[in-house]
Amino acid sequence: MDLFKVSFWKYLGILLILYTILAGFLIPVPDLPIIHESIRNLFFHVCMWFGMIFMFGTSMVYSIKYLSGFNEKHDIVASEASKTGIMFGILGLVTGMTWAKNTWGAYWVNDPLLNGAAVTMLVYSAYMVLRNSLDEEHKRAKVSAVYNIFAFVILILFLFILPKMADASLHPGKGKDATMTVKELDNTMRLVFYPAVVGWIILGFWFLNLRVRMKVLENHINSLSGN
Amino acid sequence: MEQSKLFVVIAVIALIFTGLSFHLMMLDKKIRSMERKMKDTEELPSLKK
Repeated sequence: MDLFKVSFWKYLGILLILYTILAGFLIPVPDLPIIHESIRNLFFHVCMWFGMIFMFGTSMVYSIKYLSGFNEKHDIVASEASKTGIMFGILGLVTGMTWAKNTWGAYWVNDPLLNGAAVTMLVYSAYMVLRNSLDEEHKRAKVSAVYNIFAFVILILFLFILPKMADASLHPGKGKDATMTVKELDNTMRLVFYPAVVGWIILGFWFLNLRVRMKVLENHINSLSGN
Repeated sequence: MEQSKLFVVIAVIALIFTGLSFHLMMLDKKIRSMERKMKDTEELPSLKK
């Protein structure tokens, strides 16, 4: 938790995203069939998924930590990381749907990765419902920590394994009919894409940091008022 | 004309993000001051490692 006291990384995140916004819209991009200029959405849409996976991964790690020591703060981090991950997931779906409408002609198509992303979001929404349905604090923390570990396994299955096994996918690098692979990414685009991924992940951890600290304060105030 | 429109859109997006970052920094500062006050009054017995 001491890492959160250092502010340098927060400013680095802001700078990287500002760079992504400016360079992402201004650098020359390869004119690929179907996607054309919309390829710039790569700097935003894909980064949302990176942010989401890091948040859900953090959530799972803290769930394991909670189960090994029953420290209340670990449960708070796991819960808040899931909420931040869901926020990134929703942003990923919105940017993806906008991109799909402009390239594939529909907001939602029958694609293994799209359906996998939707299932993942439902699984984590169920995690939130589960947390809210249990009143007893320690029971809620224990049950939701176990569920959270399984939820991350489902994420890996639906976002990494099943789309790779599918016969066809509209997403690059997935299935047999891939239109573009990550290896073919233009070198100029790499100069923006990698900093963008790092910047969005940092922003995610900043959100998480703020949410956890607010929750700890809220719990403290509640304990003082006797709630 | 198209080029200048693009610059305006990019500037607006960058401004919105700068505003959001500023808000986050202020929130961070506010939380830090509250944490300091909390530490001054008493320790967190239930949340301490």
